[in-house]
Amino acid sequence: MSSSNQTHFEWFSIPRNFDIDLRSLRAKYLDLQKQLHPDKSAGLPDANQSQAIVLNTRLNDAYDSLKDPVKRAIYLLELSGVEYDADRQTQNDPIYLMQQLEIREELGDLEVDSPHLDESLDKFRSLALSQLEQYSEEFSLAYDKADWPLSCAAIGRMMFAGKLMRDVNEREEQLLDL
Amino acid sequence: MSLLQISEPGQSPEPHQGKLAVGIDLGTSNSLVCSVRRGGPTPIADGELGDLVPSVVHYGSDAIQVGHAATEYLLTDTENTLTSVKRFIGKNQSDFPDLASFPYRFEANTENLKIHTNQGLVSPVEASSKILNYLVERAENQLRGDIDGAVITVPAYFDDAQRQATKDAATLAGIKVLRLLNEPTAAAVAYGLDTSLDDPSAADSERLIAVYDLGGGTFDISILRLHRGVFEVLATGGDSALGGDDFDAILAQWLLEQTGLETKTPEDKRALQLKAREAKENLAWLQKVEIEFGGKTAELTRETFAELIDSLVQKTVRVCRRALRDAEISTDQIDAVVMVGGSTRIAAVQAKVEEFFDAPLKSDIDPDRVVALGAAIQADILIGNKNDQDMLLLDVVPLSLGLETVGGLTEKIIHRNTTIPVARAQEFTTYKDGQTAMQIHAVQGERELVQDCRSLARFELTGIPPMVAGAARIKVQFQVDPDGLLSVSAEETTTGVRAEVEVKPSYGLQENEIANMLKDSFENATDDVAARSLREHQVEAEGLAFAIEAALAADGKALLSEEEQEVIGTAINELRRIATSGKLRELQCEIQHVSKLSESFATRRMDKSVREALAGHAVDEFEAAD
Repeated sequence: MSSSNQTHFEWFSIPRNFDIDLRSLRAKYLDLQKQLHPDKSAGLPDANQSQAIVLNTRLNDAYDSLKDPVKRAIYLLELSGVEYDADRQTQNDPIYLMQQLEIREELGDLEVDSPHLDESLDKFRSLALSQLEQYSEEFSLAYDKADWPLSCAAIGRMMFAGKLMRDVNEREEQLLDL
Repeated sequence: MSLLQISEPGQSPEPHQGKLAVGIDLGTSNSLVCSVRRGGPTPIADGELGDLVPSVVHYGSDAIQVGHAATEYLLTDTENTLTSVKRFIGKNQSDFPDLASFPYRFEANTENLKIHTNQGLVSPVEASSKILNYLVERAENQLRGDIDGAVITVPAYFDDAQRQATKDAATLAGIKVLRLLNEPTAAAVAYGLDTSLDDPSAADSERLIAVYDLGGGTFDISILRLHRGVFEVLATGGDSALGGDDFDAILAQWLLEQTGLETKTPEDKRALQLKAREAKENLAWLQKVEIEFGGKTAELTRETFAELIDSLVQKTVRVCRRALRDAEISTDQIDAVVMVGGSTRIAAVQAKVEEFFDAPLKSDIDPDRVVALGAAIQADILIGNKNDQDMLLLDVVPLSLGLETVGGLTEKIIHRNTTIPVARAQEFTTYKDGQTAMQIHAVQGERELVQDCRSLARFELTGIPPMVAGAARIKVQFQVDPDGLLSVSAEETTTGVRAEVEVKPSYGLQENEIANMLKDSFENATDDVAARSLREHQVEAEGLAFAIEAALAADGKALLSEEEQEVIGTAINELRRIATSGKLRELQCEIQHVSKLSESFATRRMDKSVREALAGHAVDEFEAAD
């Protein structure tokens, strides 16, 4: 058994599921970090240090792929032999699309002197978060039933929610010159 | 044998007795070198000169002076006396629209920043290397021995070019860099070992701290989670061109307005700057100061000063806000704010920071020394003197790294605040039929347009077989090492055509310039250098042999065939023989050979160690901690 062939889930000895315990994932990540971090091989020959860096990079990558719901979902599909192609994943629910457009417009309308700017931005953030949660649940259900088309559709919407969050933050940076 | 060591916590290879490592804070205004002695980190002082070294280099016609000796020339030989070179490091002329306000003669015929001095053209990297040299020499004199390695701190918000330039300065000074460490992280380490951040009633709980680091020329904010010796940077932000020098400049401008005077000569400019700084420093303990300049006087109160610098301080608060958001936490979760850097002595700064975070400010450890003290602790661990299993630093990339794509747009490959070391790959394709080459342009920054980001390096992937547009698969890999330095490689995956670069700044020093400078400095001390290098390799060889033997004893029988054990055993003997022969080149080859030979054994032990590590970890304790 080689660690390079193990799945990210196996690395952290957690079940291959969409619903995972993030606290326990983090605890295991830190546990492994304490052993695999390049600092732990300090004072040793360069060749071995670079080997440690490779391994630690792999650990960071595995953690990164699992802690983020969108990346985790895409990775799960990959393990099931399904490639998620963002370019081919189009949203064809007109009501959903209309909603998304409206949200973006409202966000674009915010100005630096808008009343309660902070609260408005926070409202958009909560919206993005609740959407992410909702579509994560949709993904989880579809994935458990091995319904790949539905799983892909859910990932598309999860990504939309993530994009909304980034847009809100970018808008704030523009407005407040952060 | 890093991987061999890992599976045996507490049993590192034989400790290298008496290895000397130092932590260096290469600051904009002052620098400091510290080392761990008798268990605790201590600044290294030089008699009456004290421990802080002014980051000033004087290029006289027959000698180069650093520190206090150089400050003698600030007003008498201004053009040849360089201060605050950290502001220039890893940058080029176009980064400074106000170049004329500096009292130096910059070389005009280059994009690079080079200054004419009595000793010829000097780059910021060279000037910095002189300061590093001075610090290491001081440490060697005081500690009575050769320094084996140093941890050098850099602002967390330094980009790749600034980091690389700092490392170049160390290379030029002949220093082995154990790690480039982010300044706020170093400060957190200094505090982390101190009990003042620990709440004894909740020893197991996580603590969230902000490190607000406002120095002479740079501003950093880092948000860290502290838990059982793990220092995890959640987010970092800053401005690598905002610091006490800017406050001085604003104050200097105000002084000119108040007195109706003008500065004409470099000496005038420098004198004004020094006056402004002095007034600022006195305001830390006085409510108001009288400033005399050019025969006139002006009165400056704390209130006026606060108003003058308000917009800059506000800027730092906005950066804090963004860092908190990146860390996905709110101000009320912050347990304490660690104050670092001389500029945090300004009352107006303290007031704003306290108001924003609404958390206690920590400055128990001297803000001018805390960074170097933390660096010394890390250096002591990295040189192998202390096998501290509990302490671990997890740091991040401060600014997103990406590539230029068609239309001058940036495609981010590694996002800011990603934990390092990290590697990410992305596939690109050709956009013209029959395209056989591709220009790879690595950039750093958050903006959409390439022109608004920092250009790091350009290189070309050639020899792509002609295909229709969109058919080639070019995989570009970005790798950031534990020092935060980037390297980039590109490969056409259907044919395996490869190109690779260590990202070197597309300005500043070129590789061959460094080589030449090194050669020049070596010519004076060639024998020394060769002897030192041989000794270093002999130590390395012995460490390697010892580690493999220890590993063989522990796991050799379980993981290796008899034949494999014998091959490795023979190699170790050969390594020891060559080490004593004193032939440097042969020894280098043999070390590589033995490392390579033991690689698969190391990997097998690693797998075993990972399995064992996962078998009985203490997840429940972590979960109970909340």
